[in-house]
Amino acid sequence: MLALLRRFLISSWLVVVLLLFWWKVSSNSESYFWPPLSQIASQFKTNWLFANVLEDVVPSLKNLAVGYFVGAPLALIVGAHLGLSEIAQKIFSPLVNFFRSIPGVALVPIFIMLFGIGDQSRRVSIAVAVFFPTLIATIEAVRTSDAVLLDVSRSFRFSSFQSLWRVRVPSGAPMISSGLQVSLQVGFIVMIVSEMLGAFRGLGAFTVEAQQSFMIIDMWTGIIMLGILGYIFNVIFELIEKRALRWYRGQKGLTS
Amino acid sequence: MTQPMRTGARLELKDVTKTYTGHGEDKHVLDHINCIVEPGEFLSIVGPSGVGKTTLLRLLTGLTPVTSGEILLDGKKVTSPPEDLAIVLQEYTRSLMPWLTVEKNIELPLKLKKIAKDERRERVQSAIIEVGLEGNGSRYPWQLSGGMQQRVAIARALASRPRILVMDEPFASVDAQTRLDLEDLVLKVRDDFGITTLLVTHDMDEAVYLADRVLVLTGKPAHVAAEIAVPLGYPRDQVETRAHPDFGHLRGEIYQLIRGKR
Repeated sequence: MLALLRRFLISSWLVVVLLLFWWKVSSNSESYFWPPLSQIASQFKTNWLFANVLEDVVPSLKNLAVGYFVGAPLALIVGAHLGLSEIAQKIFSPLVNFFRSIPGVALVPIFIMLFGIGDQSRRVSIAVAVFFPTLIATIEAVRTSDAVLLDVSRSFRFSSFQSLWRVRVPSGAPMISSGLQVSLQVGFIVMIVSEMLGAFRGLGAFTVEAQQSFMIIDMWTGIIMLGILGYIFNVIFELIEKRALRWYRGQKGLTS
Repeated sequence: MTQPMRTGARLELKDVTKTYTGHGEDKHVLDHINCIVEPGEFLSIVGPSGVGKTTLLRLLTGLTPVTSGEILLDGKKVTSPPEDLAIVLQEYTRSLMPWLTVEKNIELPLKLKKIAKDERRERVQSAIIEVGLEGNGSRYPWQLSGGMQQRVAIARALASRPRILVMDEPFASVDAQTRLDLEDLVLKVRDDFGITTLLVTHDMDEAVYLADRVLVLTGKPAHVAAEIAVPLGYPRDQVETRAHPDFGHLRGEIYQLIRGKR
């Protein structure tokens, strides 16, 4: 318990100090663009605890969830099979490298054209953007499986499907997991940007609308809310990863 | 052990030749290897390092195809890893699945063969007991010492109930004391199940200590320099067997073969 408290203090004191600094420095601010933090805080309370959550936060998160849980598993399946075949890799690598070079957010306009400005286009944009980091990590993870482990699998007569999902994918899980994490971050970005382009609701829409109508304090609360959400997602991801890849940390002799 | 005694498999190598092609020059590694291993026999394969011992092992486990000649297991031609064969490799840290516990490692091949859960559990438990790993079933391989990890690999091989066990330098990466324990474990396993056992090693003492017969490979490409019977009888004892005059003679003979024809 004490150790937990210690860890919390170590990892949070700098944030607290910076917040206090911001609070103090901005307290007498008369700049329109840099309002006092106290005002932002009280507006944050009105905006997000928990008045507009259902209206603006939940739909955004729903889009992210749908996009992520369609795009990432699909990337895992496609990547695992591409990783197995050198010929398939050669055929698809120019295509993959072309599409991965396009920032996910740049695809948003196309999908708005194709699917309209509703949630569907945003979900598709997120799914597509999420697809590539996981795909590339999975191909690499499957491709570089340990030869000894594969010999063992063959000697036990595992089918190629079995050795893919029971040996290659789990042994590459640490690499795949970093791909999934990048995918989550990219998905989050596309979630926001897609709402900044022609959406009526959602966090991104709220923030950009506040900015365009010079409601600077509201804009600040949107930005802070985004920061908090992104942070929470990362924490949750790392908690799950830590549990799922306990073996990896143990094997490497990492203690935390 | 409650399992029924099994009979070992018979292995026959007929003019086995291996040439690696590609990458510029062809590399002729093994030249007309002939050998018969009788059911239940313990055969050691020795030779200087780089002679092609591991290549021979890969051929007879079906992991690599032969260039010419035939490998027959109970009269059936080996073209891919056969059902009745299990292997134990030198690199225990790389041959076990680090994301699975000891039990799950041993169980995985059985699971993928769709063996019923009850039988799987029983086989896993008896294999764990056989190799002396009681109480370690829920630990992970990386939490165990090298010797214990190699025991897990042996248990995994045994759980699939092979009729022939093939080991490639299985004790080369463990400390000397552990090595002796594992050697005796392998002898016990052979006794308990009557499985045909093949051991590839560069250690001449180990080869003699364990085997009924030692196959000596030398030359480039490698050929069979000699097949030496080891008439020492079983059970063997780390102190007495090694102190036996015949042990010294056999060891000397093999040493001469390997040194002389290099």
